[in-house]
Amino acid sequence: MEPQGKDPAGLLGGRLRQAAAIVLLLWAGAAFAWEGWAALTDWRRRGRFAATSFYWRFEVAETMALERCLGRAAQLMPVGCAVAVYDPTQDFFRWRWAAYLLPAYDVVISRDAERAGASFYVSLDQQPPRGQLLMTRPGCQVYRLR
Amino acid sequence: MSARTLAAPLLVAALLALAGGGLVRRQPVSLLQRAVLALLAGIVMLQVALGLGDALGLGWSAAFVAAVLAVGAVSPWLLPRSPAARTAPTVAGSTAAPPGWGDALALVAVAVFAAFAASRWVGNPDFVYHWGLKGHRFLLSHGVDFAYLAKPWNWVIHPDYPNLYPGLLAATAVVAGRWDDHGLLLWSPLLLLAITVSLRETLGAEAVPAFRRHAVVASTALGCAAFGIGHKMAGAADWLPCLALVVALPALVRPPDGAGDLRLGLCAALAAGAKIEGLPLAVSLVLVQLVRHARRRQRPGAGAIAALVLPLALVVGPWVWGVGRHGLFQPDNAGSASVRRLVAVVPAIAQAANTGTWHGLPYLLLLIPLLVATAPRLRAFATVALLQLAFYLWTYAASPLDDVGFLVLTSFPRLLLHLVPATIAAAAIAWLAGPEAESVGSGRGATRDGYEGGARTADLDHLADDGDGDLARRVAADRQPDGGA
Repeated sequence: MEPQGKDPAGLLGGRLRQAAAIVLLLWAGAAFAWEGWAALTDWRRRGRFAATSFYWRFEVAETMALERCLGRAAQLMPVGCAVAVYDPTQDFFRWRWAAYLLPAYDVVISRDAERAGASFYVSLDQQPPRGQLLMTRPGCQVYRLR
Repeated sequence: MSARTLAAPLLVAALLALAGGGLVRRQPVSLLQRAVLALLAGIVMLQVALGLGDALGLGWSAAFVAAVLAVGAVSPWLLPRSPAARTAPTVAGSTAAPPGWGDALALVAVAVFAAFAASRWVGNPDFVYHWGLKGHRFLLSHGVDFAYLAKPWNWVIHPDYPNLYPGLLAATAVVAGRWDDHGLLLWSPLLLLAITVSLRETLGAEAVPAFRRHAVVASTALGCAAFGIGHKMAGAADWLPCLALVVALPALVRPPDGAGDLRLGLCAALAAGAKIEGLPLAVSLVLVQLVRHARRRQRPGAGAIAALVLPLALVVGPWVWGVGRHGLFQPDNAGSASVRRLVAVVPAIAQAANTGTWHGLPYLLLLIPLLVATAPRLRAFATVALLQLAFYLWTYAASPLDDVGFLVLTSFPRLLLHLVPATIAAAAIAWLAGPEAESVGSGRGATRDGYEGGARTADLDHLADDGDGDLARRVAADRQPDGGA
């Protein structure tokens, strides 16, 4: 029975608004739970994360290996020089990751090595056609070009 | 990763809020809202100071950054306070509201996002591709390195983009003592916290009843944190224009006045300094406010114009000057829109809005036209939001890139972040507040600046609320942390 003095329209409007707020909360809460759980699951499997460089992210094996390689290479190269990432496939995203990890250098993609006057090649998996080998580790070589 | 580098963003944010506090101390808002506004003002002031340091050849050395932060933080306490500032009202509407379950859920959302950000697992690709790279490079070169930006192969790092965000990262790294992306990525959850706090205070001041306010605050934080985690948004610059629009909302809802002018001026400066897409947002904020002044037959004085435009000019001026002087403007930023492209863009936009990591929340933007039609107080906000959406549409339609669909899919989900939280807040003000809230600022019984009226209607809101309980019970419930009204 409707309590005395109640406005049915107001009652309906109020309940609708309350319901809208609850729906929004459940909606966002479900999204948060979904994404949080998915990210946690992926993070636990990060060592086995395998993807093209377009999907690289921090903490995966590929970027960690690149970080280690470029860290060693930086000890051999004078700050500020131009460095080319040797890569016959001209992988754009690998180049961008290398540039991020070597901010003190002008990091260029292989095809721009000449134009940039690159003094060094850093190679992860291929031997460049020229250059003097300065350092080699599994999956990481540094060559002096000039 | 160390405690110092993880704490650095928090320390810098506190110093910036102290520095910006002097500028916004006359804003008639709650203490928490003022803290957010002070942080926003502090970020803008830092950018202006870094630009000045660059222009004067001072460089962003540790000493310079420390001096900027220290002088900024101390200056509000050294400057004499005017009697008006001493009596500046603090709005009671939201400060009186006790913390509740919505705040707790929001904090959980921010904390989880922060944990993922500090782990770097949700680091944004653009942080790697340009924002972080520029920040680190500028840190090493003690300023904006125009020679580096101008290298022919560096067109990929958007050399013509504004440098507020890289500057903020560099200043944080100076305080941290070194570049550590674990700590620097924490800026994103910190900004989400500021967004959530501002939104909470706005809803409180706008008489949204406690239960709904908690629900909306929690929903916004949870939804944005979900997107932040799922879409790898730690380190993205998009949190800054998002903050700008959320903080601007109260000024767009209330009748135009001096406090609103300054608030919008600062928000416009932050948006324009953060991203190139923030520039049209900044222009919209300023123009809409000027039109609102004109429609009320108020001729804004020189002070009002300066408050609206000066922060924007101080941020945009050095950026445009630097870009122009070094010839950094990229030709692919300009083009002419075509219908053929527009036809390709529209389905891509729908697909991007449906991005899994957003879980459909961008569909709430479809409420914006409804705001125009049914909520007169929200029309200024709706106009700004629609102009921004129109700008995105035009940008895509004018893009010289061949695969415009790919461009839309890789960028539009991020751009939606600029609008979604503020739109949720606007919709809550329009449709979840009690009917009395509609009279605030509408000219019917509103106070001069309309703001105190908002606080009062917060207390009166129960009178015409949902009607599902007796008045006394609902008034009592609204005083409880978990609401119930």
